[in-house]
This record gives sequence, C-alpha cells and structure tokens, in this order.
Amino acid sequence: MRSVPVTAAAAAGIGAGMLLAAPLSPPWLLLIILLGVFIAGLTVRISPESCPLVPLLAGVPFVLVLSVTSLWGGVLAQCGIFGLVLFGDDRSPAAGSYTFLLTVFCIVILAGCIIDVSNHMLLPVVIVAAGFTGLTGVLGAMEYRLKRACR
Amino acid sequence: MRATRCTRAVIVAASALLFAALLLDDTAFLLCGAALLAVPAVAGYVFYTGTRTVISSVIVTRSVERPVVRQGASVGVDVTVQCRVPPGMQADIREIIPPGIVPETAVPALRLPAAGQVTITYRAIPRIHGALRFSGISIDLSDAFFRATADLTGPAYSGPGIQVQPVPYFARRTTPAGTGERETSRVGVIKSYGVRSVREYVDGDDMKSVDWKLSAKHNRMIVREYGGAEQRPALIVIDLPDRAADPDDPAFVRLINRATGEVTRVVQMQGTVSLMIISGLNTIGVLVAEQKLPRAVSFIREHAHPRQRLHAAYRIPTRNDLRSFRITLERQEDQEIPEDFREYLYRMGKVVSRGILSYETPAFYLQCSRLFKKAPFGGVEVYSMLDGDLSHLRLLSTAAREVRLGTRIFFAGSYDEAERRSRARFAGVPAVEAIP
Repeated sequence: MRSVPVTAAAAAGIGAGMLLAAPLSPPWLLLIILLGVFIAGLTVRISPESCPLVPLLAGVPFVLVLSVTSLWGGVLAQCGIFGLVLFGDDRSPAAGSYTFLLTVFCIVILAGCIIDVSNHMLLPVVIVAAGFTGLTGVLGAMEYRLKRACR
Repeated sequence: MRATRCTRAVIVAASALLFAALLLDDTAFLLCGAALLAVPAVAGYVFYTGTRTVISSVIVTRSVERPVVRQGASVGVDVTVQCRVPPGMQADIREIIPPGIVPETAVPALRLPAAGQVTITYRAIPRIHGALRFSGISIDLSDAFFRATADLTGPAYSGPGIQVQPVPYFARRTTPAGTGERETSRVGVIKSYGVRSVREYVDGDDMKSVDWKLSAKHNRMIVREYGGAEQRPALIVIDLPDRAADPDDPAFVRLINRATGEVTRVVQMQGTVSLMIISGLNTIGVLVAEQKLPRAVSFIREHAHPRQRLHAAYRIPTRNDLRSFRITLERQEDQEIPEDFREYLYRMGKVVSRGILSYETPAFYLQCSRLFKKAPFGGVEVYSMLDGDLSHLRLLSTAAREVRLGTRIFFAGSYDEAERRSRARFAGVPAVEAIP
C-alpha cells in the first residue's frame, strides 16, 4: 500500500456510504457478502502489468445493491472503491496520482447529480455515452496531431 | 492509442450496465456504468499527457561508423535516446530501419528508464547505392490501460545520411593477372557463376535461379544458390631508399604522399588495406587487413623514411632466370659461330649450370611468397624510387606471379622512356608508371 491515509479515507468512504443507506434498511447480509467479494477481488490481478479489471468489476455488485437502496450511498461507496483500487495499489498507473483520482471522483459525483435530477433514464445514458464518445474522439484527434508533428 | 484487453473489458462491462439501466429503468445500473466508464476516460487523458511528455523530451543522437560506405559492406550504428518517462508508463525504443538497409544483427528494442538514456548499437548493410538517411525511431508506449506506438521520423530524430558507393566503383583496375574478382562461398551482393548449393524454393527467390531439371526430377521447385564474388584490395608495398638518400627529397615526399593517399582510398572504398614496407631486400614491416585508417597512416609515418639496408643485392637472378639464360646459351651454340665464342658459351654454360645446382632461394623471396599465399590479395602495388639495384622488385614480382597476382610499380622520379623500359625489365614487370 502506497498511501495509508488515502486508503483509509477510501475505506471510510465505503463505510459512509453504507451508513448513508442504513436508515433505508439495506440487505445487510448481502452487502457484507458482496463487500467480502470485493475485498477478495482486490487481491486478484490477471498479470502484473494488467489494468485492475477484477477489483473494479468485483466492486460493481456491492455498489449496485447499495445504490438501489440509496443513490448517494452508492456514489460514496463507488468513490471509496475507486480510491482503494486505483490509488492503493503500487502497480496501478494512477498510484500516487491525486489528479487522476480526483477527476474520477468528480465524474462519479457529476454522474450522481445527473441521475439524481433526471426523471427518466434515456437522457442520462445518452449524456454519459456521448461524453465518453466525445472524449474518445477529442483524444484521438489530439493524438493524431501529436504524431503528425513528429513526422 | 489502443486500449488494452482489460480496458476493453471494462468498457464492455460499463456498456452492458448502461444498457441494463435503460432496459430495467434502474438508476443503480446507470451509476455503476457511468462510474466504470469514467476510469478508461480519465486513464486515456492521462495516457495522452504522458505520451506528449515522452515525445517532447526525446533527444536522439545517432552516429554512423563511416559516412561513405561500400554497397554490401557492414557499417556500425549507435543510437542514443534520451527522454523522460512519466511514472506508470513504459517506453520501448526501436530503431526504424530505412528501406535499402538491412540490419546485419538483430536490432534490439530497449526499455527506457524513467529518466535517462539508452543506447542501441547494431550493424547494418546497405543493399542499394546512393544517399541513404536513417529514418528515426519508434517508441512503444504503454501503461495498464492503453498502449500506443509513435514513429518519430522528423528531422530532429532522423539522420545522419550515408553515401553508399555502388559495387562497380570497387572493381579493381585490370592487371595482368585478370579482373581481380574472385569467387567466394559466401552469399554477397554480386553473384558469381559458381553454384554454392541447391535448396528448395522459398518465396522471393528469383525464378531465373530455378533448376528446372532438378525440379522435374524431385517433383518440387529446386533453386540454385550462387556464391558471391568479392573484390580484394591490393597489397601496397612501399620500397624505401637507402639511408644515404635525402629524406626531404621532393620525389620521395611525393612518393610517400601518393602511397598514403592510396592507402586512404583503399580503406574508405574497400574497408581494409594491407601494407608492406621494404628497403631493398629488407622487410621493415607488414600490416595485413588493417581496417582502421589512422593505424595504417601512423604505420607509414613510423616506418617510411630512408632505412639502412642491412642486406644488399646486386642483380640476384631467380632460378628461372638462370634456366632461361642457359637455354639461350644452348640455342646460340647451335648456330654458326666462331670457335672462340663457342668456347666462351661453353664456359658460361658450366657456370650457369653450377649456379642452378647450388641455387639458394633468397629469404626475401620466401617471405614474399609466404605472405602472398597466406593472405589473399587482389594484386600488388609497389611504390618505389627505382634507384639502384632492382633485384628485390624482380623477386617480389616473380613471387606475386606465382600466385597469379599482377604487379604494378609506381615511381617518383624523372626517368626518360628508355630508362623506364630498362628499369621495368629489371623489375620483372611490363611497365612502370610515373607519379606526377
């Protein structure tokens, strides 16, 4: 573990999310089992240099169950999971990069806000998909310009 | 920028969650999908900024062993790459081999340290002639989420250029021994007429080299593999005058300059040079197949000054000369000649016969003969003042002729045509060439 305070804060975020959902009576047993699955997934890596696919996907069921009960509880838990997965592991490319982590947090919170204010599903899904596609296009164009400058 | 397999899996999982959110009309799935998509999106931007950092900090320094290279000859290349790699990223450097150049050894791909430099060293063989320029480098960048390849071929990363001289430039001047081209079992740029081996046809083989009879016999395509032909540089012999000669004599200085120029040309054009420095019958030094020009030039500077001749010669004949003389005497005896002259021929014949029987081969001749047989040369070029006795040059040219090598003699002096012919005859060569 590179940074104990960030890891502790991430763990605290997961706990805060669960506390936020507590008044709405979430399925505690299921949550604890899924948290165990996530913790087990944290220790798994397909290869030393691969991206943290397994821990990221292992956290999804936990966040899914928590956000069914409380959306902001799920947002907090998701931020905590990202903190543990992306920052806590020395092998991660984002290890030690606060900018990377804060940007991901901002996007998750922004997504939570959009979902919170939306009355239906289609518009937020379109916004998320369009945002991702647009960013991919912009990055592709910037990369093309960069490579062309080297020729 | 290409996503790794893991990143693609994350994107697929996020897309599935978003689709499930639409299908089930559930915000929880939407949150998970959007959150998962955020990771590759931000990682992509971080990877782009890292790529920009690496590319903007790259400094390439490339040095080539020789700026002028013979077509088909090997040349050493050193590429030093210096750049800054952000943490979490890995950069592997590869050299881009330009068309027309074939690497002799495998070109390694080296991983750059976080802040530092790597040097790629390899040898390349130019296959086509003309001006060739090294293209640049290729950087393979990767992190856990993305990977990309950037070809840096701009002016800051490419070069220097090399001038590749075509093979026909190196054809040796015609000598009495022939064209100087020899067959070799190695496969080279120039093919000889000799067949080195036969083998099965592979893609890219010239259809002209297919042996149709063998192919029909074995029911599969068989091609002939021809051997190569190679040009071998001539042995350059510098014949120094005796110590009594003036070292500042303009003719001697001209002779040494011309020999040094020839050595330089041979090293640049053919890659190696062989040198022999003699003073009459005395061998001062021998340098065989020297590749480094400074070493060859310093060898000349060290030895090329008038030397005391420990062993002197005066009209030393070879055994063949004695035999020829005896045959000449015998032919004259058969003609109508006065009796006293016949007596003279008889006595001379006896002297020559005794000389043939008790003939001892000069050590200088044996040295030359051994050298010519041991090291394959394309010919012998002698730089001499042509003063005094020329027996040693006669011995040298005879030893060269025995291994089918031609001898050319260059001199720096002012001899008229008759004198030149006379000295060429004494030296055992058809003609001598003046250094202007």
